Amino acid sequence: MSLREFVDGGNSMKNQAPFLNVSSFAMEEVSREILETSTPPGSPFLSIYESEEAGGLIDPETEEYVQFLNELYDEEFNETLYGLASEAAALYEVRFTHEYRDPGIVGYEAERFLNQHFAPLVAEAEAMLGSLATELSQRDPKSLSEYEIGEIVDRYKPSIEPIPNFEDFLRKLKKTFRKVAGKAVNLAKKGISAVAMAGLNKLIPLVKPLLKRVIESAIGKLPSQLQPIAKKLAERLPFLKEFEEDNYSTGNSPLSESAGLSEISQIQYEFDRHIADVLFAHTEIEQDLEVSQVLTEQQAPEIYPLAELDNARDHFIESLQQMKEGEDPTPHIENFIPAILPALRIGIRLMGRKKVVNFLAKFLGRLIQKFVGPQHTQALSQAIVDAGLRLIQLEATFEDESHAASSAVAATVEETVRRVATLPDYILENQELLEGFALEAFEQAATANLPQVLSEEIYRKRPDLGEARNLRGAWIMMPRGRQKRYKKFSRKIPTRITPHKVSAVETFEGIPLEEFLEEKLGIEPGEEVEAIVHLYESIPGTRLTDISRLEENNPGLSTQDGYEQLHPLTTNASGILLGEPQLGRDTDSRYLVDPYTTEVGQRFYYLEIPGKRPLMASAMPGRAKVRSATKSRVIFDFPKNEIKFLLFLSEIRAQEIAVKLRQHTHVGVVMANLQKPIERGLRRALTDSSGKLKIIHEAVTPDQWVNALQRLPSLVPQVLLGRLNEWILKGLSDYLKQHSGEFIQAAADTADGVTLLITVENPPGLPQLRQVLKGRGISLPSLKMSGSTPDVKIKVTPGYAHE
Amino acid sequence: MSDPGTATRTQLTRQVAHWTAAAMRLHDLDDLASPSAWNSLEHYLGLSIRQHLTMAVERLKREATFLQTALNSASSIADLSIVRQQLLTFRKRYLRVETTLDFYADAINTRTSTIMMGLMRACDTLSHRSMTQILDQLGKPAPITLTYLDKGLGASILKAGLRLWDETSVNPVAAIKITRHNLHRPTALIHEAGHQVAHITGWSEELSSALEADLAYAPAGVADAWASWAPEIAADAFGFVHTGYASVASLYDVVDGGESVVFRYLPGDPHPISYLRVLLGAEMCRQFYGAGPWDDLALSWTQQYSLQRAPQASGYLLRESVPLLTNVVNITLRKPMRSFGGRSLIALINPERVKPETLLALEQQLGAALYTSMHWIWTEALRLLALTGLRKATLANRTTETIKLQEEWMLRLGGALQAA
Repeated sequence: MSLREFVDGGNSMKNQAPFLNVSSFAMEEVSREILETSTPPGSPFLSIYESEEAGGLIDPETEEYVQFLNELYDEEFNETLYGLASEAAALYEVRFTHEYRDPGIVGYEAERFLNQHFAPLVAEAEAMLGSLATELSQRDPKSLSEYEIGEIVDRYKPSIEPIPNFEDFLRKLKKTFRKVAGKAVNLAKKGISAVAMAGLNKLIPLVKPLLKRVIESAIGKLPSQLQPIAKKLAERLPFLKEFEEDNYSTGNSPLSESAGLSEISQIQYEFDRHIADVLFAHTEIEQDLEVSQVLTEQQAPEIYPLAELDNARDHFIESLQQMKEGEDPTPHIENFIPAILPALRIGIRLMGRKKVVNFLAKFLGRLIQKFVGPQHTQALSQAIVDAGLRLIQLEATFEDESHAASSAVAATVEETVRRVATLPDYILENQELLEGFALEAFEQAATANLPQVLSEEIYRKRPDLGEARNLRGAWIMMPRGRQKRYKKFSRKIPTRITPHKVSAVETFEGIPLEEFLEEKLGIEPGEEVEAIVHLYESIPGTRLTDISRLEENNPGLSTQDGYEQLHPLTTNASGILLGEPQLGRDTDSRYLVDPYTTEVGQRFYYLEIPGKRPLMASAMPGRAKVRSATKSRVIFDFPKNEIKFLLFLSEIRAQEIAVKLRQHTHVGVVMANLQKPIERGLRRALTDSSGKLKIIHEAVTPDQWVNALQRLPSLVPQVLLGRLNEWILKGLSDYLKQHSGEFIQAAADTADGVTLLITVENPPGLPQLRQVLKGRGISLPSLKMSGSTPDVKIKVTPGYAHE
Repeated sequence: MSDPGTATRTQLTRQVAHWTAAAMRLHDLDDLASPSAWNSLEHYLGLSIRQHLTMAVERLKREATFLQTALNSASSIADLSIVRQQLLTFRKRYLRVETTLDFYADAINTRTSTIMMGLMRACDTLSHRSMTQILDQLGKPAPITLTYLDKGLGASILKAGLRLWDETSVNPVAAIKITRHNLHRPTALIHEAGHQVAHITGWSEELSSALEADLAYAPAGVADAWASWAPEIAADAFGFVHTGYASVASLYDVVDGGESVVFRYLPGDPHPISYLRVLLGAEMCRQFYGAGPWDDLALSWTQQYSLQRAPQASGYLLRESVPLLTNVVNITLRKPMRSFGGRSLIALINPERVKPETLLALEQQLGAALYTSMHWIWTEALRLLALTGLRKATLANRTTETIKLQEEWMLRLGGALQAA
């Protein structure tokens, strides 16, 4: 059935599509030929065995290269880069985005300004790398130990004023350099690269491109050649390509356009790859070539998708406001859609499909026609005002109300396009399917972005079209003005937080909300508090730091670390906290791992709890930082044949345990406290794909960590979970019996919390897992990880030590 | 020479322009205190004061605009005369708003260094915490506290909710003055916070009536005197339940100013005669903790200040009051009060929590972490104040060490608050 038939169809069909069931909806001939044809992607997957038979064996140096990339990649560095990008974005917003100007000119000026802003940091970082490289180059690599390298690196003191984000960057860069220097020494010792030590000096010019990428990310400039690392490595490692393509067929691949890799992660990947390329080069000339190639890559095109979208949206909204009843908005949508697509990472899929885009423009033109024109706009504005516009825009004028109406229509168009862009190829290529799915996308978008515009009867029959009807709110594009950075729900929803409620809700990193509230806000277990829930939604370009920065009338959120108070509003969280599950949005688990990687359309909430403020810990002198919650991380280090489990215990948990140890409480009681976070951390990392996991392996790249375990037979992660849990609990229990003093001492340190680094050495079955991850067939019994009991080493460190 | 109307208008025009410009200049709050001083305030506190002052200045600016409009539309001598009256009113308003601004500026500007900033922030937290512990139970919000440093012997408070100098706004925060000598033993903060709690709950008035009624058996005039001292007795009791013996030892040091001070009786002064105040504190300790160092403190006090040397004006009242102390403690700490929802003070804040044995057991149980872990510093801040105060009171030979310990945990507490 075509769209026309669909629209013209019987009453039953009309009833199923209420947004179509309007008299003003004119029929339009929609060609069946509009859709381009494309062949479904082939299946070039080759089995590992074929690859090996074809002589595709991997050389040890390449394997070492990949292992090194894994060692180097540091999720904590993402946090630092995110901090710098947020700082740059705030400066950019304040200084450059108030009036309409050509994005290219604004971008050029902003880049120049931000380069100046970061110049002292670049200078200091370069000086630091130069100084350390010089000092190390004077030493004989054969006699240089990791410990000595660490000492030399730690000794270096930056000369600039310790600005928090700058200081953090330098500290992380030091850590990276330490790993690089260790590797350079290792390569020199092994005779793989005689010039690796000299290469340390060549890292200096890589700092500026790194910060340039951060700036580009902050101002929304389309970076050049940011590609998933595996794609770049595919030439070196053919099997990586095969894993990618295998994943592609399951929709999990970073190569697939739906992957939505965080831009910040990609920036770090790229930096790491540049470092590795220099380090693994065989001659100084090759090293110089690698560096010059990095500098050449810097010539990014002057494209600013977010600024273009801001302008296009603004024009679109203005156009809608000027339209008369019955006027066809299609031409305006045709201008708008090309600006929406580049700002969506996923949008590139539609950019090449002109016919789909044309279809969408006409389709949306018809659908939104009944919302344009003075009369319709006024009705829509009134509905938005009724939905609580003035609750979030206290001084909203008549213009603001009218703007909000057109803005809601624009948001509906944007969301429809985004939803269509995520449709699989077979739907985009089939007209009938596309029409049906596009209509569904519009209905979902209209439900989310428009206030209640349909009759009560329709909402009764189609409850899915009324999002949170009991709350009678609307999602408003924020802030006021031309640049929109996020959406906010017009109603602030009072709720009572009870232990029963929050026990089933998780926030980022899989941290139970109950624990978050206790460890970060000081809400006693069992305490019931009244809270006001504020809801937000991300749009293209939204960082959670944008929301916290722009919510300036919200003191709990508008602080430097305020974004940490935002939680993912999943349907589960929304159902439990608000009794409105449909207000939540479920998302791929990778967007729940941390607040730095979020996707467009994802929703968040902030709990304003009167009288409660974040618990703070001293950071630098005179500065404070929000205390960290309990969290964990699993590291598979296949080359070393060990598994590490890092368990950071929040200050509250650490003190709880220290008191018990001081009182010589039975170790079983202490272990009962520790068991929960251990089991949770392992489960999330090994079986839920949403925990913190690092894999150092020659056939896995950092962007594959989360999904790599899916290469294993399905039972293996469960077995691994059980074994690791057992080894860790036993090892930890023995340790606490014999060395409780060490834990007590660490807990008495002024640092926030305590980290337990638990290393499981030579666990049975790990070498077999290593082979499976390379695609080699191994018998299932050998993956049971049973047999000998591995050694478990434990180190306790005050504060947070993640590696 | 111009006509009288023109001459008056000229003068008025200049004056209105002058005062309007002056009002406009008040707008930039960074002129009052440096950005770093503003940043030294905890986020909510800074925001609250800034919002309050901005509103006061905005109101003044609106009044300036009205004045300017009135001048522009004045067409007769009579009109100009009205404008002149309005100008005089505006001048007064300007000066009052300026006084309000200056008060906060002076207070904020006492945070002159990282150390002072940390200590003051710790004081903000301690006093606020002492209020929330009781007001939360009563379902009443506790105001944010701004502590500032000043000279002198005793602390003081400008209570939140009281009308300020500009006469149009009420104080948004509890502004507590702490004196330099007591910075490392700031139990007086809690006494001042007690005044705020009494103001919010109506405790002073109720206590006053209770003292008057329950001490009615005392000789003439004695019950009236005790009733008039209710506000300070309430604040002392509040300090005691939160910090125990430390508050009594600290009070001793402040009021020990010689006989003329200790025996002085000023009718109408809400402070009990110092002689009685110290003994009342010792009696609180005795009743709740049994025998202890407060017995020696009381003994020393009564030996130092023999009632036989008390002046005639206060001698009678003092002698008749001493036997009442036990009952005064009972009334103040154990009597259920409407202001406390029908509960007694000790039912809301149990002084057993700061009993010396309990404090020492806490120190024993938590070890070094008590002074270094932000968890304990944050959750046990008031008991840390009580404990370090106790150590200072009982281990005089280790005063330097105790002061260092006190400063360290206070700086951790102060450094661990979010910057504005």
